[in-house]
Amino acid sequence: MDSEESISKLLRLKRYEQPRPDYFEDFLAEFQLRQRAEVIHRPFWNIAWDRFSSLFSPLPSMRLVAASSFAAAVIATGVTLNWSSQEAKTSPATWNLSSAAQTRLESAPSPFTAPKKRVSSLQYVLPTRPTGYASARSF
Amino acid sequence: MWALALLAPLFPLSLGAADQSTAQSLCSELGRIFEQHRRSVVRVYATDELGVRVGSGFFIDPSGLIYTHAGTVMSAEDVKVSFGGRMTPAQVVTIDERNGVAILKVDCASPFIPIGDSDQITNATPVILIGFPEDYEVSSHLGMIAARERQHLGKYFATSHFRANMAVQRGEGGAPVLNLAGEVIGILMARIGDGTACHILPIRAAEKTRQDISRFGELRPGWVGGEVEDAAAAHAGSTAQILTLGPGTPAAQSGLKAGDVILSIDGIPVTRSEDVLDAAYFLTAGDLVEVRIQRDGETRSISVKPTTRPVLPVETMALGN
Repeated sequence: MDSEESISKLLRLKRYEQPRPDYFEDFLAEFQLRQRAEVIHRPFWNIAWDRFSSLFSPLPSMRLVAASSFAAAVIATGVTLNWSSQEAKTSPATWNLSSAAQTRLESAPSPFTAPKKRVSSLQYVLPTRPTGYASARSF
Repeated sequence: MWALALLAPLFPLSLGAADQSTAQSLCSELGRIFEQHRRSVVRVYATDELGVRVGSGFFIDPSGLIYTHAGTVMSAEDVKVSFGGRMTPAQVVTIDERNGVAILKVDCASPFIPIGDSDQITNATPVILIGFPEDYEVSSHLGMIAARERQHLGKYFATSHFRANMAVQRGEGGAPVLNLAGEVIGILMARIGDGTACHILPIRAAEKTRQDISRFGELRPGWVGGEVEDAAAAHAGSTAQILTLGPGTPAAQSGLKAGDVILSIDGIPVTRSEDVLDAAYFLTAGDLVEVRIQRDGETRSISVKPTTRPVLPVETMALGN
């Protein structure tokens, strides 16, 4: 009973407690500022994890599933990126942005074929010689 | 006497003025040709799995037909041409590996450069090239025809080319070369050395490609099936002697024989074995041609119907930027 009476008193007291008149004017703006500040100062992976795990929050057992899925995705991304960079070093058909000098071409193995490497920019055409036939005296 | 003495110093001045007038007239004419035809020259962009190749080309008729360099559009998945401040998709009508010419088509009305007579071009003829060097705007070059050549560094061309002393740059492959009448007489095919000289395909050789497409919808280079060599002595002014005839070839079936000396093929004179190169280039499969020969001291005419030329090994063509 004592506790019920104390709670009733507290509620009566709180009923007459009012914030400053300008409190509600700045409330929304201040809330958004704090929200942004929190986002900026938190690491990206932390935010991503929170959002990802919130999808499974209703079921505590799903948190484990979420964690393993997230880890698997990170590992798969890393492996893919590493494989791509290795291929870029070895593949003949790759963009090479390192040097404009890569636009210079060597002789091609067959008529009109460009060299088997991807050039970094536009390749301006002017061959070193016209086409010709091995046998010129046949008709 | 006094009057003559006073006029004498004026003669050199008069000649100088005449020279200056001639130079101004030439410059004016070159500028007029450039301004008249610069809008008929296009930049060609061809995209394939290796990147984007860029060359020059030009309209040859008002319906949007374009000559360009085969090396630009070969194996391209997408071809566009840029002219008049706009980019337009282009269809590759044909690519002729023999002469290195490609024909494109865009769906719009277009300005065009009239076709000249490349057979009339002689050595020391001044010519103008209009093209797109690298990423610069359309530019002109003045040069001079040095000679007609059939080979370069020991390798024969499919047909003879002009060698011109004219500085050319990357990106201008397929650009038109004009005479001083403003007619196209050739297409820039290749640079020589560091680009201070070049090889130009005579426009008549490119027109053979267009004629085939126009008549048959496909290329039909003709082939007779004979081999020639130079005889020790000339007969009726020619040393081009038939060495062999392939069995079952049009040459063998027509009645030509080994040892016959060829005097002309389809009206094109032959005086030595190399002349066969140009004469054979213009043969069309299925079209009867007259071959004039000298046999046993007699001149004869034999009709031959060429078949489609078999695929011969084409020499490597370096795009060499």
